[in-house]
Amino acid sequence: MATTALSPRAGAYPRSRVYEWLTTTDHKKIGIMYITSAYIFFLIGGLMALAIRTELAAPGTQFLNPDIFNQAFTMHGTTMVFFFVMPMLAGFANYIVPLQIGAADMAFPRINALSFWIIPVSALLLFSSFGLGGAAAGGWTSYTPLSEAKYAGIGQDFWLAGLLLNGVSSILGAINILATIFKLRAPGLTMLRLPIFVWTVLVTSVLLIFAVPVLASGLVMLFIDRNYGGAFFDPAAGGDTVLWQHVFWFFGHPEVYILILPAFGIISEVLPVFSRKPLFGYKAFVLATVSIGVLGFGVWAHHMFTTGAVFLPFFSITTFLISVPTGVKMFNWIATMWRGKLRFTTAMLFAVGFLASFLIGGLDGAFSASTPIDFALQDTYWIVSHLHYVLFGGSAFGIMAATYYWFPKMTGRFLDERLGKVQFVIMFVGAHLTFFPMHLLGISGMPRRIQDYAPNVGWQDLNLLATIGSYLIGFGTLVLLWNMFVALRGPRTAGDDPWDANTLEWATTSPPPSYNFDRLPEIRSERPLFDLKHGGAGHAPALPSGEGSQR
Amino acid sequence: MIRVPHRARRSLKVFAVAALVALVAGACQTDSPGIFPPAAVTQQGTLTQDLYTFVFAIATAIFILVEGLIVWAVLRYRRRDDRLPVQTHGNLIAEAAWTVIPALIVIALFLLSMQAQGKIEAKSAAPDVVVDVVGFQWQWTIGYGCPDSYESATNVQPGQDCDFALTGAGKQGPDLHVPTGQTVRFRLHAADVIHAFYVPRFLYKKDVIPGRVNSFEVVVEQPGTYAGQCAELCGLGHGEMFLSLTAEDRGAYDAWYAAQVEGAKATPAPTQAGAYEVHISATTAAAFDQTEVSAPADTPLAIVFENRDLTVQHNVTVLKANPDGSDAIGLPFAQPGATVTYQVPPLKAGAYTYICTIHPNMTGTLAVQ
Repeated sequence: MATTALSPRAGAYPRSRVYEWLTTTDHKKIGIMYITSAYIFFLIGGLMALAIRTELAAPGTQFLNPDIFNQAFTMHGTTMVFFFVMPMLAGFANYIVPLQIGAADMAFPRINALSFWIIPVSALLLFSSFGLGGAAAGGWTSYTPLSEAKYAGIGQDFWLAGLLLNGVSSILGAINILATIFKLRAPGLTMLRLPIFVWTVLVTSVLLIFAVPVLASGLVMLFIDRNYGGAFFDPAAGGDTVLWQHVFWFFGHPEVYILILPAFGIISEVLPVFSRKPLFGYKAFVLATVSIGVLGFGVWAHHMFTTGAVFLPFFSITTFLISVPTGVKMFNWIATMWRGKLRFTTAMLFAVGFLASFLIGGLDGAFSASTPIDFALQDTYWIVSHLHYVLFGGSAFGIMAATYYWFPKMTGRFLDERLGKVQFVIMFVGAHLTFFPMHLLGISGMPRRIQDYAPNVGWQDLNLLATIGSYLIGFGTLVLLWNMFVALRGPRTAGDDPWDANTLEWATTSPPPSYNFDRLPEIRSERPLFDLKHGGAGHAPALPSGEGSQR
Repeated sequence: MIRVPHRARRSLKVFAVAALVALVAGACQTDSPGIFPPAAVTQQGTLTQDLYTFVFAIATAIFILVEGLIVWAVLRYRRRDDRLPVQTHGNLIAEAAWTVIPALIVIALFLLSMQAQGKIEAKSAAPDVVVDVVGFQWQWTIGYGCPDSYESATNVQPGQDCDFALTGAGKQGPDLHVPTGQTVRFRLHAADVIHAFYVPRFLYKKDVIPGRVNSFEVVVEQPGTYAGQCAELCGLGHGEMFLSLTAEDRGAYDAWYAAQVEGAKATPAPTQAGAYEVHISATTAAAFDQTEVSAPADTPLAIVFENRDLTVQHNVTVLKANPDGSDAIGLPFAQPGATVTYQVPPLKAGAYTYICTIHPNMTGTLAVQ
């Protein structure tokens, strides 16, 4: 038989790169599209945040009138939650999970493409409202009756439709991830050898499947209320306006964990690699992740303590208790670094910055778990501070760590470490300068979502400080963009395993071929690559790939 | 790997310490926002304040411990050589400790919170004073001496059925008075969307929700005037929905109350003889049926307002029509289908704008010649 020389570069079907990206079902390309679009939405949402902070820098109306201001914070929250953090983490999951479990692709590659392409369509729907009579202006929570037809314009309908579509993408993505993790793991990769990032993505996907349909039902009910004379949330017609809050937060609180758990996973990949130690307490970490997922469905009404319509003790104790598994993780991370050999790459710096910042977001959350203190803090800037410590100091720092950590794998190129460190310092200082003063503003009585405040109430200096901090964050973002721009023009110098890492994605080329692996190392622990390099866990020589990775 | 130069690291530390010192120093100045809440003025708020201080102490201890461990690990365990560190996979005792101890701490905090919550949310059988608060876009109406039916009636408009009602827009809002040292119950009603009644010095707020009546009680101990404002996003004017609360001893309160009752009797004089009648109606929430009306100058006006909109209540408020420059707010609101007459004091010649307070998009011009 004649031998045929195969070159991966020789495409059987010559087609343009644009066509290739538009039609791809490769999980890596889809992952990169997710991440790229999420960064674009980060810029859009970030510009809205800067506009909000500019208006609040001083008393009086300087920059945004109340109408635009309300649209700005509504769309800022909506964009950051549904179009930045969620797709960003979905993007990393898309790219990394099949690689980490030694699979050739996702379980349903074409559904994968569909769930990505829904996102720009839903965004178009949402953002078109700016040009069609004004965007939604009732906050990202869109409480009824303010979001009902009597009080909110057509922007609210676009918001409902946009999020409904976005939710379809999330559900499809979650099902795909679960099928992939359950069915496509490489031989030897048992559930308790899964990288923690895969575990957190798994729990997140379960949360999505249970939580997003509840949001979808709420969105549909509100749409019916607004357009077809429904009365689900209208007390005058026998409905209950608090019902919306129950439905929204039954989704909304698990959503908080959807936004943070994969970031936990990222940190749990980065810390061990740059400490040269395994993750401390792997099984406890898995258990903590699962219990956060379970408890996360029992805390929703802590957003509603001041409604006078919920059973306070139950939601208070569950909220207190959910801090325990989160605390376990914090201690596990620190113990991972303990007696390690720490290397402070930018990814590691963001991971440590995550620990330092997320701790504050955890501790100030405990105040709100105490019902009497929450009566004072609810709906003030304290809450704004808390949620940004969790979502910026937490999720966004995790995303930054992931960007620096996996960029070499995705592109074959390093992001510049010097620029990265500059970016880290600017963003770390900026984040604390922006969000810490908000604690003080909140406790002294500044309600959230107000467009103006009186000059004589003592809120000026702290607001100005927060605005300066937000500009720093904006500047740090520009440094990141510049870093990416320069790196993508540089040579491919990263190599397969630049960080001396532990997991399977580093056992193939950077970037990996479309089929991911030529061969897979034998998997005897959660660190197959470490075992390969250091001969741990009864290591045996590498196994030829064959049918192993591709079923 | 590139290392941050030592000098840069040191200046960073200096900067961080300086920033912290500045922040704490700023926080310690009197009357400016700090890391502790402003002094509570109610019995109930004092409980919250004590709880806050306690939780703050515990949180600070945990913060120092954990950040200390992070900083220690970062400084102590930098990579100095390439030898592999000991591969520790876990430690059952340590892991049990940092699961159980935090669990005990949060359970203790929970029990303390419940104890305080029981006292803060307690309701007396017969409060000394009952104040009804109605929130609407974007003001408050405050009713005193309202009927008992208000305890559960969800769609109330304090007016003739109460001893008197207070209104007021602008930077102050209505000025509520309450007696110090006595139990005051606030009953909260919403006329349109959700609002929240929030007086920061109470360290307390409660949502004002259409379709239900929320209530809470306080005993104000510290006399003084305290600002309050809406804390739940309620639309365009959310940031300007203020109120002011004056706590004074019972004697002063009673005198104020009597004066308000007198004032209430005097103001709604039955359509003054010789008042010029202006007829305005509304059929939808989009606009008044008449957007231009006229009236003679220096004559008392009676605006006869017919609400033909069968879906929602409306009123007519003539902006800046009162002698002191405030708005002549039409109260009570006209229920769907109802006709209400509003008295407006004599006006100087000029053009005045009238709106529906609930629907500020409904506007018209009153030409006074």
